[in-house]
Amino acid sequence: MAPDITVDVASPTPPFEQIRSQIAGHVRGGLLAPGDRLPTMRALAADLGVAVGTVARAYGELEAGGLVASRRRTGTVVTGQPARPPVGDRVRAAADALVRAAREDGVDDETVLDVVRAALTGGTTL
Amino acid sequence: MAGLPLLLALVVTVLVGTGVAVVRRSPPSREGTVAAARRHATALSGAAVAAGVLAALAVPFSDGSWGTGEPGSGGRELVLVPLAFGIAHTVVLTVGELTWPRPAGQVRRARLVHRGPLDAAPAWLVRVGGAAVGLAVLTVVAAALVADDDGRGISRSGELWARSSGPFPGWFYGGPALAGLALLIALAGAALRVVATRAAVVTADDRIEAALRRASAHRVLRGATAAVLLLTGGLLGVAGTAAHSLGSGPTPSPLGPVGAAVAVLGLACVTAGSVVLCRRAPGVPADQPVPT
Repeated sequence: MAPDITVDVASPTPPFEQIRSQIAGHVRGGLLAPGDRLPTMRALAADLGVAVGTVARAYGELEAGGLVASRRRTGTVVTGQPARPPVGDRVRAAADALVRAAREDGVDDETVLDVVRAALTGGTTL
Repeated sequence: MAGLPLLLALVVTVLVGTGVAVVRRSPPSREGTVAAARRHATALSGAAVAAGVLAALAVPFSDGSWGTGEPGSGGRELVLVPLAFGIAHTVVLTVGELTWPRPAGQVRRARLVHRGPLDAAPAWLVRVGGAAVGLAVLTVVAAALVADDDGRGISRSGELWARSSGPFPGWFYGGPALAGLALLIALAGAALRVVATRAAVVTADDRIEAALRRASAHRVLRGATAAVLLLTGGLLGVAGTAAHSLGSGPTPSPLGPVGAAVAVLGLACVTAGSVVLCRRAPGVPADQPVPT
């Protein structure tokens, strides 16, 4: 079954970034395979109740990142997972520590991701 | 021409179809978004049929020549009755799909699935619609080839005789019919594209969203296909009657039985169009308990 994405219109993260990051996550996580067709911009914008330009910007950034390609006849298609720079040991250890702390404090995964997103968009809070 | 019988068939069919829709309603939905979408669809369907019937009723009187006794007076307009219904019906459905309830609330969800114009369309309606269009084009072209130069009658002559019969759907009648048919096909295609891209209904049950979209595509194709079948039936009926008349009498020819067969085929097309127009759109599945 095709994966879902959600957009929180009240979130400080812009809707286009929410769309981009979730689709990128689905591609990297294997939920969207190379060759899978994404919804048309108009259809996804209608489903999410956002402007077509918002979806167009998200698709544009995904295309610039090498995750999808726009084709005249088939629309926007997943091209695969681009080579990613290796994650440093220090970052990986910090992520493990964050997950461990969240589990101990009973914080759910979505909240953890929100915290990380807020840190990424708002700069370091340390 | 065959306009009045077609108009009568259209009105009777609409009444029967409305009765079927009222009697065989799906159970009410508990989800607010689904109930709102179903209300919108019901109002849309009724408005589309009403607009189609009004357009069909208006066409015979559109140029003021109806009943004046001039050759072909009103006949060309009457042959367009089914197309007027189909075009008005499709336009109203398109506007209704464009104004489909939009998602509301702070958090919106969407499924990452591509929807093509024909993905939600019932396969049998696509096939019947395609066949009807093919038959309509074939009828117009074939009739134009055997019709008189003025495109209104058909004539045959031998060494000692000459006979003519009419009305016959040559280019005089077939040309406008073909133009209207092309417009109807374009509008139906655009409507199916709008159906595919309109907002999904927010529901816990994916089957409901799929059924609502399938019903939208069904309504578009049902009206357009029925219009084409009624048009084709009218053209075949008129052509068959004229050919039968020409091939019978003191100088019988094979045109007689051929014309009778064509007229019967026309009647079958009108019947098929009426049946298609009465076919209820797919029902919405009963609500499932919303997972907590």
